[in-house]
Amino acid sequence: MADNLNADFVIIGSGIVGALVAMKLARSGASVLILEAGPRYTRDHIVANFRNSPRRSDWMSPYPYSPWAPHPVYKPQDNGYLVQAGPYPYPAEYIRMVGGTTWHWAAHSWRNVPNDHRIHSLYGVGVDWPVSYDELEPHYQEAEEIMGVSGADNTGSPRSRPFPMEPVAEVYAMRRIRERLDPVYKVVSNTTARNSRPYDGRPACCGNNSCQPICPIDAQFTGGVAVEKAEAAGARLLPNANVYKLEHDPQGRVIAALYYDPDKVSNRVSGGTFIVAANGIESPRLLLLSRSDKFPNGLANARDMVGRHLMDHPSTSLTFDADEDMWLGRGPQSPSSINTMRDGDFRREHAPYRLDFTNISRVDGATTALIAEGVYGIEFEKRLRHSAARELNVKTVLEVLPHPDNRITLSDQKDSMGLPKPQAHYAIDDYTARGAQRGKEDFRRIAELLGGTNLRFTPDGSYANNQHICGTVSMGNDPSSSVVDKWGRAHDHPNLFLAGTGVIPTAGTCNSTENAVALALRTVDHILQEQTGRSRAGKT
Amino acid sequence: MLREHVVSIGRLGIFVKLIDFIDSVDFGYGGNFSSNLSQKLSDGGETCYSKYSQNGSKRFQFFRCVPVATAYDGAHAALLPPVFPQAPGERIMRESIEPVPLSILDQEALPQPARRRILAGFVGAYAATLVPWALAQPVRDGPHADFLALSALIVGRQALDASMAARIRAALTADTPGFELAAGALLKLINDRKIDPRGLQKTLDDEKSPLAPLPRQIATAWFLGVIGSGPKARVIAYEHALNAQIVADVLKPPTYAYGPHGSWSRKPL
Repeated sequence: MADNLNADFVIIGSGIVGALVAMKLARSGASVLILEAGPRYTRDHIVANFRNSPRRSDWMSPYPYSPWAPHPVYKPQDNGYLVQAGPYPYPAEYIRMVGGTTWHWAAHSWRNVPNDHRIHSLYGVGVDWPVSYDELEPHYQEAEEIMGVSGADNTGSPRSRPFPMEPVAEVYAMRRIRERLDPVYKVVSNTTARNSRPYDGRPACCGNNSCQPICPIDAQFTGGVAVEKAEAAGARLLPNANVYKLEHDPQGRVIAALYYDPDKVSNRVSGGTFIVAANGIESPRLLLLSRSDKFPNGLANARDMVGRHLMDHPSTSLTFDADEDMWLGRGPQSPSSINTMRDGDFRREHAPYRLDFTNISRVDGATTALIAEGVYGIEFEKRLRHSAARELNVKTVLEVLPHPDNRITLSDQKDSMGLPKPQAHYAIDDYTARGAQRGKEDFRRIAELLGGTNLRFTPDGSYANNQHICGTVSMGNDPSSSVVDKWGRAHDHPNLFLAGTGVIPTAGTCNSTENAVALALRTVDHILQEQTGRSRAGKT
Repeated sequence: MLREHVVSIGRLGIFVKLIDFIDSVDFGYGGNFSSNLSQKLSDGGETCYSKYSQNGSKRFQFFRCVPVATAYDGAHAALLPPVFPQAPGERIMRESIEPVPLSILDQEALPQPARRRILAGFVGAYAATLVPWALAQPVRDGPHADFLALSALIVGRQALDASMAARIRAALTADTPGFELAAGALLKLINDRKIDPRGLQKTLDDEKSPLAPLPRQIATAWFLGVIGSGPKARVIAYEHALNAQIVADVLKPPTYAYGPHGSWSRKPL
């Protein structure tokens, strides 16, 4: 067992959150080591893999799968890595690789709306955040300036300083949707980490329309860019280091991370402070794997809270044909939304939601549907052009409340490294289902205003998952119902911090990344202030 | 200056394509090459980049074709500089497309087919009538002719990329035991029973014909560029898959740059 690695800060996970935490700590002059389970892989390879993939709508297909760092794969066959305990399936997707899962994302970088922080006080549902919107606001701004967020100030989230840049130019189809839904619905530009002008050495968007699974030109911020920034700041990164256990001293302070290399040789890394940023499934899994005599249920789990309160954003949708040519697929994939149902007194009764219009090209999907239908000859071309020009899709992005029974546990089954697989227990409650029903009324009205025909609703009770894995290591003031405090520190382990979407206490209706990044940057500020305070106290 | 003629058939009628081979990069069409760039062809040992240009009512497409050995990495195509230097062995072409009168259908007047393009041959008179533009330039090599005829009928177009046809046929033959015999049998069935493409799949499905999987395999190969399904599926074409070609006047295949920031705000057609 080698024991030659040591750092002031050891960060587990090199996704967008882990990497930006590393960047900020390294800029303070500290020594920082990032341990990443998966390999390094370049953007060019991912682009080439996508073009050569027989499953272009499967956004996991261009990404490498490493037996020494397994992650869920569902196509062409389910690899069974994320064990499903039911009752509702939770087929979460994430990438174990340097840069993590935001290699493929739509770059939505929403802030909460202020009331998202107080849904228990205001509406009697869920829990209140231990951090107010106003406390988080400067960190939202910091996150937006690092990631290069473009947007307009009309989405219900107050700000003290302007966006780093103007919204990305409006897609023609979205303009038509906005014009035709007005004044019944206000369609707004999405707030995205996508450049509308050259920013921080990366170009403006050129409309490659492949934000998911890969932006070929880095016009959108990704975990890959975050890693480059962390390494430029002096952080060291060790890929192919699958951390399987955290060791602690008799006082409960974490003293080392143990990892397997691809040959399953165990290595040991010691450090001063440990930050687990391995995503909403792998972070609680690591805590649960770190059992010891003193902590028989795993680290930070004295009150059986680790892995509970699993949340995501389920979506229902409507696909229909508009009465004019729109040609989705020009410009970025996810440009516009309706934000009016994100908050209101109705939250006492049903889930809030954002309504999201896709701009993903319909060409491949329509082709597959026509071949399935057996449409051949000159008819095919006519039908394909019709669908490519006219087809639209709108979806709900629904809030799920934090329930202790929705959770990640360890399975009895072992993965390819001999470690217990993660297991998902998940249900979608009536609160969310009622929100979906309310959203269906909006779908009908939207289709009507756009002259929609050939309406195809997703079946009632059927939800697509958005891979916004939240809540499993929630922050809260009460240790009996949370895993970390409002700074991200594990309740029973003074030098162990959690960062990432897992710490988010309620999912709201905004994609989880910006919340996770802002909270993590706040955690770093707290750690640095505490250490400065300690060193000052030491001097006096 | 070398010039080639290719007769091609579009949705709006019969056209002749004029291909002029140009001597240098400086062909003065103006504009930014990278702004509307797509990697065009990557078979035959060449990678071609293309750009549309309008001159009054006349629309040109420029191609710069470089030997694969010196080609720019496809993954970086979107980032090529506005003017990239002429590569050793590069060929520069300008295509313009003009409508032609029907008299060109006189076989004697037909120009020779251009490189890369072939005109599908037809086995059986009925099948020929199903293809919208009956310009027969027979390919008489038995199974390949059958495959081309069947392909033309299923995809609804006659001018098919020769190298893609060869690759699709080779891949389907390798993956599907008895593929060539089945293709011949299906073509014969279509001719004998005068089955319209619109009713082809339903007829085969209704009759539980062992030939029923064949049209979908061929359609999937040409339209999506995918051979087979499930874990064995593989890609033989992306930007040349016919579904990308059918909408190429409006859309770029995902990962290819649409254009400079904001170009997508314009009305598409």
